[in-house]
Amino acid sequence: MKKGIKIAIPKGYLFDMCVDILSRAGFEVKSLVENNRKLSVYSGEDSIQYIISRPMDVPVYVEYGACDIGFSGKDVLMEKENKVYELLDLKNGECRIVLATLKGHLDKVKEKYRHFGSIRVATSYPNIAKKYFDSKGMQVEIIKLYGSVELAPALGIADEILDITATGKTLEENNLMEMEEVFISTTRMIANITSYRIKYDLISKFMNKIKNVIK
Amino acid sequence: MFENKKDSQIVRLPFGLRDIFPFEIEERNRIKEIIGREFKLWGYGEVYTPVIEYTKNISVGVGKNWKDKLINFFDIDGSPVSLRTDMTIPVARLTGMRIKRNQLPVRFCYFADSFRQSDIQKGVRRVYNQAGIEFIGSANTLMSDIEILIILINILNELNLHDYKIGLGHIGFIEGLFDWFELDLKDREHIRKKIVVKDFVALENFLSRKNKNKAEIFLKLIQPESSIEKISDMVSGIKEQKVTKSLDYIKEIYSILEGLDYGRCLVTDFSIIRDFDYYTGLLFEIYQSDITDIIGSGGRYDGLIKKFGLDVPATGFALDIDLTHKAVNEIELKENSKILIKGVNNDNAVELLGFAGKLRDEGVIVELSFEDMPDYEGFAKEKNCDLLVEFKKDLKNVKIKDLKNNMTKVKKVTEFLKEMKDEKRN
Repeated sequence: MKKGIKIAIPKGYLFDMCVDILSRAGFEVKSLVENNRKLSVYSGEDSIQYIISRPMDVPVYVEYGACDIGFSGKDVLMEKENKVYELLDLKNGECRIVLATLKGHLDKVKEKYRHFGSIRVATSYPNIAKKYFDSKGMQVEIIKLYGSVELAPALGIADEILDITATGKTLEENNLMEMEEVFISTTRMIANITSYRIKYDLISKFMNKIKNVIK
Repeated sequence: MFENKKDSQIVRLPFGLRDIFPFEIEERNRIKEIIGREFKLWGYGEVYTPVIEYTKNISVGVGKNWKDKLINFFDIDGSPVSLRTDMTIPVARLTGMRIKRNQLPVRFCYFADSFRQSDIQKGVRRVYNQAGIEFIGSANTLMSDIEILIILINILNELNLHDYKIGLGHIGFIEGLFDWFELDLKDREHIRKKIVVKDFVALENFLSRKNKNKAEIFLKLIQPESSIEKISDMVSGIKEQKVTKSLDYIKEIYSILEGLDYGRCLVTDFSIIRDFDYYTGLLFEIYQSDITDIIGSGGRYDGLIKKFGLDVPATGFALDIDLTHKAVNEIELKENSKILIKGVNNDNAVELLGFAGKLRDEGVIVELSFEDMPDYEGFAKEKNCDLLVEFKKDLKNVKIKDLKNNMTKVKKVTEFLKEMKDEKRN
């Protein structure tokens, strides 16, 4: 087995935040920033292999041991429920998962639920949606969309959406109003079950450096 | 797309189940042989129990998450029945049902399939082939735990597993920490669940709210640690009997196993707990660097057999054969030579079958070929044969093609048989 550790870094809006934390923690991130088209870069200085992947794939890479640790949003962890260990809250990359509907339609939606006993909810998080409505004892029809969830109510696909929002701007732009907050998601550091035991020395050293720079 | 076969021609298997072919079985059998030999040498007797048990028996003392893993049916009288999810409960049931106190202690081992429900989306397997032991009814807790750990380590060494670790935990340690934290039942249940899934973030958030200083120590104590002394230093401030007692217990295990030079693979990890209420003492898990899941686990379950009518202590472990097989680098199979005999038919049957019989007496694997084939050699190679043998018309001489060295010879039948006999002696 190779020395050092492999770390999964999510593309997209969490990428810059991860690089920032890594660099503040004293890791060499030049290769990560420079080769931003490469999907895998090695930092010889720290003996770290970085794998850059889609956010939804990070816990998968870690569960199946392609990476020892990874940075993943709590929303992704809750949705995918991969068998990984959650080691640290980076307290960063904060987003809220909320339930929203078209402005001025709240009463209409409520009336519909009373009348028909079910409403439609569009989301990219069908698992979270199912658990959330189960816990409230509500019967809903869940429609999985891969993007532009905010459009669903206006297009008449769904009555409500369960989606992620950082600033609420996209909701506003699409004429949506927040009904409830489901939970707040922050970025987490996760680890593979076996790596956590076999490479604990390396992982804890890495983790302590990260810990020092998060508040 | 997907139009190659008519619907009626597609044969399917329920998800999470699979067929196993000779090549794999041969290696698995060799692994089971190595494991079984060690079990036997320590006096463990093999048991086998029915695949189906009453649901109320199989779900005794298990958490909700585990209950979701049951594959259930109804019996003819309407009673719910389930496929077994592991062998510990059936063996406990068997012990409670059939074993008398004066027969104790008993040592049982098993090789069996168990079944667990999984997510169709993920397609995770639903069948688990396990090899394991249960050591039931010994009053000496420490020595019986030591015994099963030595058996386990012997097996892992015998299988030439490199880079493996055994994580040791103790449920008493965690319970002691709960006492120290003065947690109520509800909080304990909550924290227990978070420790089972290793959600350290949720743990920290929850515990910090109660007591920030204690939370920090708590989280440090449930990290993997290969030096037992370090843990000793950390708990020096905690005056909880359960904590010190269980730590002393782990220390004793370390000192005996280190004395036998078995200490290198040990890691202490008090976050090892399980979602069952019958585990009472030592708990352990086996990891190997190439396998991303736990390849085996075990522990002490003094509370379980009582539920089946016999209040006795017990300890044991199970190894997952699929994962163990993947973790094993190389398996030395016993190499019997293998021969393919070409052109066996009604006319030469007596001579050729007799000839094949004599070879089999020498332990040679002989496969007979009754049909014409365009490429005998290719077929024989595919079957991993060493020699391809063809009888001459006179039935007194054979043409032998050595497939490994690519040489052909003609020999008298008697001469060839003698050669094979001599080869075996050497």
